[in-house]
Amino acid sequence: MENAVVEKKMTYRLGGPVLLKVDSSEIAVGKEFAEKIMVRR
Amino acid sequence: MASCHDVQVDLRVDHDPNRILLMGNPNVGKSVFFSQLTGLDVISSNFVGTTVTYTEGTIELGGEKYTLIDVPGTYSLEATSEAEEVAVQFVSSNPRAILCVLDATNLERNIKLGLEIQRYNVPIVYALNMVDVAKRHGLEIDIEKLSKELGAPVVPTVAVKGEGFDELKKELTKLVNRPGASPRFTGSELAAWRQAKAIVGRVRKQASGELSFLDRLGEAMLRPWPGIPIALLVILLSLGAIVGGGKALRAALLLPLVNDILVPFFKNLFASFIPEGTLLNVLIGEFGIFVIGFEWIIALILPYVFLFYVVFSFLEDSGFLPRLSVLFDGIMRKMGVQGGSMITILLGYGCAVPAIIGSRTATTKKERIMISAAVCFAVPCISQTGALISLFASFSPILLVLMLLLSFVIMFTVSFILGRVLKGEVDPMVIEVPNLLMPNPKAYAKKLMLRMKGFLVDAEGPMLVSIIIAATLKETGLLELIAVYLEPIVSGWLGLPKDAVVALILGVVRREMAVAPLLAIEGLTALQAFVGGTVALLYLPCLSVFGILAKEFNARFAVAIGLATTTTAFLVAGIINQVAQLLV
Repeated sequence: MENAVVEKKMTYRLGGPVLLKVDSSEIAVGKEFAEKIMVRR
Repeated sequence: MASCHDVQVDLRVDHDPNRILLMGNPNVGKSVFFSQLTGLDVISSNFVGTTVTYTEGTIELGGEKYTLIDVPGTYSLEATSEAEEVAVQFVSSNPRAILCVLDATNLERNIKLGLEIQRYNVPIVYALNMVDVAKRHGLEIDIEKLSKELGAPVVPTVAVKGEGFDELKKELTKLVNRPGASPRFTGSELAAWRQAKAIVGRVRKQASGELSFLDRLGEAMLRPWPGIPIALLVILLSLGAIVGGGKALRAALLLPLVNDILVPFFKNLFASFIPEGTLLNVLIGEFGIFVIGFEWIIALILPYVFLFYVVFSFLEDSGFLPRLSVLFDGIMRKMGVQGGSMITILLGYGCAVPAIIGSRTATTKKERIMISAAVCFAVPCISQTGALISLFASFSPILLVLMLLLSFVIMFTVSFILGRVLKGEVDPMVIEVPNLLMPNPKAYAKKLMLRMKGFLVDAEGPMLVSIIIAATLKETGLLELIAVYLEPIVSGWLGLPKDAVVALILGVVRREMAVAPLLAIEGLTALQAFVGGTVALLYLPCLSVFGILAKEFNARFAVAIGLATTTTAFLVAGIINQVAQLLV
């Protein structure tokens, strides 16, 4: 999805996933995957 | 990842010119549409040469019958996965029409797929589903404008409440009778994304919304507090409903039915024309086919299987299970698999066969092997759980708790070892969390019916075979002969009565049959019940599981699982017996 706004809603403890909001969808991505997401300021 | 040449042409796809395809993203409620629109004659098939399953049923439009095919949900038609390749095959097979379901709460990526489908020049009707949820989230969608933008009818629906289906059927009838010009989109995937974004910008407005109780509960269940306590409470209540409900059904309805009506009827019937002797004993003796057949299948197994599927199907359709996967992903990662696999393992508590088939959703072969092995080693199927509950009922519920703990320890150990021994990776979880909702009664009932039908067809046959074997062995005295050879293991190492041999023989056919014969042994001690239960829990998977392991993996893998589980069963149960003997 081009130029989509991704909002980080929550990081779960003990190596759990990261909960993201993309458009209106909530998507949980595993820690190892989330660590590879680069954020540009 | 499969290339687009891996999927062969499935000739069955082209067999019916009156095909209507039901398409859309995953989690948009397609299965509810399918249940609402079709009758009871539903067939589930595997797309040839793939692991992708699709369902087809009959839909009646304007007095004419059409075949509605529920195409596997996909995010695109770029054929980068097996499910997408199958979807491309279906859409390219010149269907009569397409019903494309759009999720009103995730409009952009749903419209993107809706546009990609237009490349295939097939008449389309769009169903804009979950308009109620979108409204509660403050999303206002101009349906008329969306219909103009897409160049095809758009019908607003709330599938779980059965709203919008009359209008949808009217539009589908118009479409199949007077197809007219199909909408056309010819751009690339990137162009589809851009056009979808532009359309959403024109048809959707942000307004104020008010979240319902279920929306707020769904949000809360994603947070560790109160999500984890709620999840544990739901699991406990589910177990209580299955165990308590099963016991009540058994005591109040099924045991009286078997003991007071069915067994006496067949005893009188056979005794009236068969002379006393071995044949009569095999049929209606203490272990007779018409005695244990009814007792084990109807009174022992059926109530627990039925209630498990009642509870599991409800949790599945309500959106509870993905939340459980998210909350427990951290723990599942310690086991070596990812949170999404929890749903597959939970399915194994019903039956290992659908769990092994369900492990296809694992993204790597390593994870698939780990899940399947964990299920085969230490996840008791619901029939076996029912038998274990009955076995421990006369001792203490602590035995059942200890058995569950043992199963978790073995499952964790198996996954942990395989995670280190097997080559390859386990991908991190990527899971879309659906809205929490009350399941649609019609779709729920149909799913329950299909699952019970599957159980009766797949499991009752092997169960009957094992009952015939049990009756013949016991009533002809063959069991005594075999028991002599197995006595050193059964009585010496495991400390079980020699009659328990029958459990080991029957356990090869069905898992619960490794427990059921123990119920008939008089004077069994609590230790013997626990040791017998441990052997049964960890013993060989049943014949159906062997079959599915050989089919999904290969025969070598099935044999390896069989050898490893049997060795573990005798080793662990024997150690428990020997240590307990030393201590007591």
